[in-house]
Amino acid sequence: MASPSLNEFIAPEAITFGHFESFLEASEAAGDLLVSSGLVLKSYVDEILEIIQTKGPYMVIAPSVAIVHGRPSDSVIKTGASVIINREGVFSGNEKNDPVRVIIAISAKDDAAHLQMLTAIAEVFSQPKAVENLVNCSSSGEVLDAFSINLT
Amino acid sequence: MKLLAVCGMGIGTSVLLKMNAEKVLSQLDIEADVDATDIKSALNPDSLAQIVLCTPELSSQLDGIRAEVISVENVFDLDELSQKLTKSLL
Repeated sequence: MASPSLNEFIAPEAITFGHFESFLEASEAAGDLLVSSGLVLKSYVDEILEIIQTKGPYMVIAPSVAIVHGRPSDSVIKTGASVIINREGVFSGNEKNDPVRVIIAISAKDDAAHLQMLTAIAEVFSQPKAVENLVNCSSSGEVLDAFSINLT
Repeated sequence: MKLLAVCGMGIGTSVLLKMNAEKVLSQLDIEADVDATDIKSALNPDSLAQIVLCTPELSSQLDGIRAEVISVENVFDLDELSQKLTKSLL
């Protein structure tokens, strides 16, 4: 049975290219994209920032890649994701994986869609050149194409 | 055997770790249950887990638990996970 690919969880408007002064600022921008896409309430973004500030940059889980999120709660309207591409990279304090160039914010309801989305994220980023391909994209359409790997 | 994959909230990184650990364990032909969970549950003294997987930033918060803690630097790198699990299990 084919699972949904990652592009099905991300609206084109939820992808932004930008330069950020800090990891926190970039994470906030990623969270705000979840709000503007109608996936979460603003309180979810506040929670993401609080988690980063209190628990440290553990969400930078691979070289150049951070996956930021809060808890499944009433602040989550729908499962989905947003993407910030920051070509120059920003330092999070995670020595092994800095600089962060791709930030994915996920809104997770504790549901089957959330598991399918994470499966799709794992599939995309297990490709050897995933990050390089993403930072070389010049439009949100290209990013969505990079996310369109279909699972079997 | 039983493994836990742990992250701050038990819904993001831990789920990715769980999925990749299951892939690697089946390649290594090891039968195991992997659960994704948050730190608080991993600290439960009644936990039967033999191995706890997490990212380096969280490993210090797991000091003192009975299970062996394996910290994974690149969650998407199946080779890293495979090497670390092999070293610990075989």
